[in-house]
Amino acid sequence: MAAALVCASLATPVRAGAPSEHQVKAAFLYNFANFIAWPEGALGPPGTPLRVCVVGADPFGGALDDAFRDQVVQGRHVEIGRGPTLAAVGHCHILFLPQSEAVRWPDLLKELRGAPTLTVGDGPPLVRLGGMVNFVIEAKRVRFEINRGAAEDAGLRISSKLLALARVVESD
Amino acid sequence: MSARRWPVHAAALAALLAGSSVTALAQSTADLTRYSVEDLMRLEVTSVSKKERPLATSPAAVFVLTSEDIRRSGLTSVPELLRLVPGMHVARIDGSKWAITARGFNGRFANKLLVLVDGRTVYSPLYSGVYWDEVDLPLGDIERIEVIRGPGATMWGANAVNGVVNVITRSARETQGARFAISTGSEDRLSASARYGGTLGDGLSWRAWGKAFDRGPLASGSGQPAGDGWRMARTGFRADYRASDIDEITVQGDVHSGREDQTSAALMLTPPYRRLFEDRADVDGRNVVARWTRTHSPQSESSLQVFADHTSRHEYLLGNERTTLDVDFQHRQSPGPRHDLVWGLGYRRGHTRLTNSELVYFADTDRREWLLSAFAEDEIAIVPERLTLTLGMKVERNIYTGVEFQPNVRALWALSSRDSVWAAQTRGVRTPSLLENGANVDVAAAPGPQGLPVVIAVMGAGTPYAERLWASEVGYRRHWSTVSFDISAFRNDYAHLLSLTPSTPVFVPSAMPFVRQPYAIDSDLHGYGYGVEASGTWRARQGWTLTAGYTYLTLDLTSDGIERDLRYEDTEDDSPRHQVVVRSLASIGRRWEADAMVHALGSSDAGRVPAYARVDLRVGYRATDRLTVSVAGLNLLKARHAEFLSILNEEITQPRRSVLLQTTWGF
Repeated sequence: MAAALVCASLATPVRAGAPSEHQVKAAFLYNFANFIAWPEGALGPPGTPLRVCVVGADPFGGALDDAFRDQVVQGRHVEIGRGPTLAAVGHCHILFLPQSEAVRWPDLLKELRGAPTLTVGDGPPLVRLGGMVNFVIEAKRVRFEINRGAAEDAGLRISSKLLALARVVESD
Repeated sequence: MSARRWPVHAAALAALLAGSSVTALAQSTADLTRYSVEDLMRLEVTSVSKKERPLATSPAAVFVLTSEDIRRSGLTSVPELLRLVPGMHVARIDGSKWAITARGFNGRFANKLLVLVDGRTVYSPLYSGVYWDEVDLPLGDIERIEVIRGPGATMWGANAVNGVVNVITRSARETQGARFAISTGSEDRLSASARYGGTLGDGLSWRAWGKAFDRGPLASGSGQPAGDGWRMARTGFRADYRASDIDEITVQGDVHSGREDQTSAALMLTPPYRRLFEDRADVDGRNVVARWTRTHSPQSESSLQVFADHTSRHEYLLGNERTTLDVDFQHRQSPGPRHDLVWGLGYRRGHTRLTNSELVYFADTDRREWLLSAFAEDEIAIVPERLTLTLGMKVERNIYTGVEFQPNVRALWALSSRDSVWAAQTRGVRTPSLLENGANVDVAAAPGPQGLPVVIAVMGAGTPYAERLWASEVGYRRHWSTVSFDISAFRNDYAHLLSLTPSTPVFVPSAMPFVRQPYAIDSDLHGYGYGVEASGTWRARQGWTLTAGYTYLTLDLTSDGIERDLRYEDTEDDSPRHQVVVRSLASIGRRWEADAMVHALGSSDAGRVPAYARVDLRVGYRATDRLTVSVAGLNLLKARHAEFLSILNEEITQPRRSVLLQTTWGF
């Protein structure tokens, strides 16, 4: 009976077709990288990679690597950085803050204040805490919110196309 | 980060069970990057993100050591790292032995802690304790060490009476490239580790690693170097494979071999009744863990883990070869909108082959045992986002005491977005060990009546009861913008703790006749303990963090047995009543780090282990992005200090002031 339960549970058929949430989010990050203008000098000399990072436990599986593999963004190759702390991931142009780190979001944002790093949160409160972008799930679809003020304070310009598609909010 | 651990899961067996239902991905992520933002917004997704709840908001007394804490401690082993955790008591016995506990009952054979390394249980069923020298891995590959104080058997498994230590390593995806670390110092004479991580095709990441060290001796009571240096080499691998969008398979394993010098004691029937001599422990082991996790939906996940573990340990006291096979399954689902249910089944079997010695005798040296367990735990959102109630039950069957029930009830109430209180009522059971069931140990010799020497012996004849605990806990947490604070208090009521009942002395007419006074291991001891554990963190400035922890503990034990109180006062006093640990981690500019730890402990064992404080300092320098160098001074206050009192005859040695130079190079 126990074995039957185990089998039944593991053999649950998978709904094929739809991509996973984090695959789509990784594709969003790829788009963001193309629709953001970083301040002069922030990207470093030509030939240095654009760095996209995850601080804390990576929820993407390998989807983030897949999204940026062999891609050229803003004339640069992309390097994925991962680490438990900001110091460990080093300087990043895009920083993804996973849900599992939500308690640390205020501290992480504080540490990043003024840095030309696009902060992207995996859940709603980030933009209200002073982050720049966060995802929200609505009716099984991935949407995003943008805190335009926070991005501009850091010298990042977000394309009007992206702003038009986002829900634009302010910090609390 | 998740309070709900998924320690247990696998692959070989998994493939058999599920057939080959690997699902092809409709779209690869690379395909998705060709979609416009508008198109992406129209896509319906199957969310596979686990509901991860930060451990910091779970209704239990938890503390997490991060990889940054580990890197900046200057400490070089898992048992030493536990000194940084408020509420843990770590005492060094000698170079390769530690006594470690939470909430009391410390000792060489401390037996109320469950220790897991990536889901693999490492407590020894020989005495329900942990051989800490065997718990090792490259510290740079550890993602975090979670410590849960208090009973945690429902979710975590057998033997989690006073706490759980859960060592979690990084996924192979996060350890790509090469990394070398080498360190040298006055105690850690030489230690080197190397790791390389790569990928194979799509979705498979791996790493392979090796580590070896040569540790010098601590100090003997007279201050001379003791004979307790040790050497160990270890190599292992980990592979993480994303078999499909919803299936994650991890296979990992390692092999180790060590030689540990130690001073053992043989009993003599003439004064001085014991003889110390240089002994060596030969320690070897190998293990493999396979884990398969399938995420059906955000609310539903199954995991299957299988591990096999073989260890062998030969020293004067005992020879011990053990094989363990463990299968564990867990399933999480949401039967209603406010319910989050986890249930699981586990089976473990072990085979132990013992080699008797002059001191330890097992009539049956070929022992097999098994353990069967089932659990269910439901987390109910009574008021969503505000009040959560958790009800859990674990039923476990062991071959010694039969069926044991371990229920738990927990509640978490979020007072505001900044603070919360929690309370828990939990039952914990210590799984009986081989030692209590069939061992005969000659512990000491002493002069006796009529000139006949007396040998004190402990007999493990088996008791019908497992040690039991009812724990009542409450806690409060609050965070401000730069300060966070966590306090928990507990009262533990213990029943059927191990006690010793004297039985009839036996005259042994050997060439040198003596009287053996046996004490039978019984379960007459009961009592209570209470305590408070508080910790706080202050991010004083960017790049400067201060943390502090305080622990208070009291135990009061009494015996119903006929024996007079036979060292139970010592048991009450095994851990200090007060402990304080303070750390400061400061980054100076982009390259320098200056870190400090102060740890102060009250006296223990009725004052025979005096109060002591230790100070560790570390300076780190990031020469380039790839090369870091650090110097640490450990135990700086005194040339040496004792941390432990012997109950057996082994020699206790003392940690010395030491320095350590560490270099890591990654690319």
